[in-house]
Amino acid sequence: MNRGSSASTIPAQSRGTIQVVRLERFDRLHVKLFLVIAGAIAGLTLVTYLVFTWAFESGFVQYLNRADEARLELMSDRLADVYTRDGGWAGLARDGDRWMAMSRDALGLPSSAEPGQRRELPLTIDPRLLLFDASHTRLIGSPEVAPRAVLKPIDAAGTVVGYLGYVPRVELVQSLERVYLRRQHQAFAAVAIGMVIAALGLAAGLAYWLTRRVRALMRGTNALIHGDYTARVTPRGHDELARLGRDFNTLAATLAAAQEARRAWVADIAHELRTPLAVLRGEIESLQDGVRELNQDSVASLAFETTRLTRLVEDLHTLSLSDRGALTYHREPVDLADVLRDAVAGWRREAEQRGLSLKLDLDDPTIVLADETRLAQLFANLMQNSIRYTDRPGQIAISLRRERDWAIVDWQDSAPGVAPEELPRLTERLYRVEASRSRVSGGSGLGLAIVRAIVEGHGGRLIAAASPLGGLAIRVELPLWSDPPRG
Amino acid sequence: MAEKVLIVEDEEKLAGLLHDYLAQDGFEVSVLYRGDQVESWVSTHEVDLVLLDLMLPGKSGLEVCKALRAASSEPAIIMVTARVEEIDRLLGLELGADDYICKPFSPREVVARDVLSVPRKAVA
Repeated sequence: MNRGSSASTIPAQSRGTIQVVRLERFDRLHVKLFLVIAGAIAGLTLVTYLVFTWAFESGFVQYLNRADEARLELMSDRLADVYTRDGGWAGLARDGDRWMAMSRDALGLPSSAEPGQRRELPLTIDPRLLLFDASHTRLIGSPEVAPRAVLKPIDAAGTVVGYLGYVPRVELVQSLERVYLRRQHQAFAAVAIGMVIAALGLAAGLAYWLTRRVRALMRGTNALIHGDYTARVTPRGHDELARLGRDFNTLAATLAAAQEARRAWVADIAHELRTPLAVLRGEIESLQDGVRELNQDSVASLAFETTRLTRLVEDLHTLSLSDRGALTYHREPVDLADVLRDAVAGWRREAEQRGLSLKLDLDDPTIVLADETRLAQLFANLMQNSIRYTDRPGQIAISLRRERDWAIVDWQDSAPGVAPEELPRLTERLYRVEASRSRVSGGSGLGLAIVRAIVEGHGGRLIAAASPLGGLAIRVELPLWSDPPRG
Repeated sequence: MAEKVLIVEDEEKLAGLLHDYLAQDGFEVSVLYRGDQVESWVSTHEVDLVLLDLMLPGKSGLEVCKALRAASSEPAIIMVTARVEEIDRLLGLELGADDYICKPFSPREVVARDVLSVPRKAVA
């Protein structure tokens, strides 16, 4: 069933893939940016072109009409004079040439023009002029246009003696006006096309410029994916992309550091395993070669080395658990003073054998919420550390006190001390102040690292400092357990 | 007369093993566990070969090697390092050591190299 259903979905998926692949060529940031920018500018240009053309055309017609009306004022005054002089319109109505000459004169056109040679003159309204008497009867002018004419009263000495009619333009009729307008249109169109071309170029440039850094980041990320942690981008400016670039660099550096740390860690572990193995191998070879005798002592030495190896592996396991956050703590309220007393009691004999005196100063009771087994491990590690790295005769002083919300354990030993610059590295894994010394005494170099892991696992802090006793002072701070309020 | 070998190795067991092997091969063997004791030892004892560990308490094998080369006494020196990667670096430093051995070594191998190193030094 499953196989059948999954097989049937495969063609659908591959179809989808093909489509994606085909779209992929256009589904790019710079293509999108180009389209958006170019589209916006081209659209704006087109709208501007249309608005300009329309506004210019209507404005031009309006302008011509207003110019006409200004001229008609003059014509109207002249006609009033003629009416007064002639005592009526009869004379003028009969004499077409006089009407023509008058209108031409009023309109600022050459009056000598022969009636027969009438050309269509630019920016003129004379063919559209009409004359009406006071009772709206047409005296002069074309009868076809008469119904569309606008009448302006001719005023002679306060009485309306007739009307000067003219037909306003609704569109541009004269050829020169058309030529002028066509030129304007062409100029507008040329500007618009130029702007669109410039917009395309600008959009392409902008899209390229904006996505250049994204492409740099893509290349860098690709390098990271392929394991090249030296890949870096050069972030310019302060915008989001620059910030992303800086974050990318930080990420790459972190990865490189993690890789280096892991490499160093593995090398260190190999080194730690190598020494007991070298001893084991050498001792076994010496038995084989007859350089040494096979007896209780030589076998005990072999057993000691295998124990050392086992402890090292166990410590590594503990640390790897704490790294994964898998180190489980069965926490319950425990008296830290009790745990310390028990831990110290177990080591008292060994310490005294090595010429070290033990001093305890404990605040009783100091309750913390903790895993007692882990705490015992913690103090055992501290004790081993002190016993191994304190010259005889020496002393180990342990104090426990409460300070506000913290239980504070001060663990101090006498000389030798640790150089201040080495203090912060003390809790590093496999770090030894004198690199090879602790192997003599059987330490794994992981003791303090485990101590730190346990302290931090309990929400506490670990501070290493120089002790007034001349040796090392380790301060362990654990949060005090606050009694839940009882009812 | 037996060739005199000085072993400088902080890991007591390894030092002991080397001692046993070399002694069995007829060398006259001394052992030191700290780097800062080597120079005074060499100035007061006759030594033909020093087996010098790199990581030593007191004074590092590197410094000891330099100091020995600077002094008039010229025993053959075999440096013992814990890391393979370090040998190239040591060669680059031109410390004047005669040979390099990497841990974990087999005492058999060390003896073989010692036997080779000492006569060469004697001829030169």
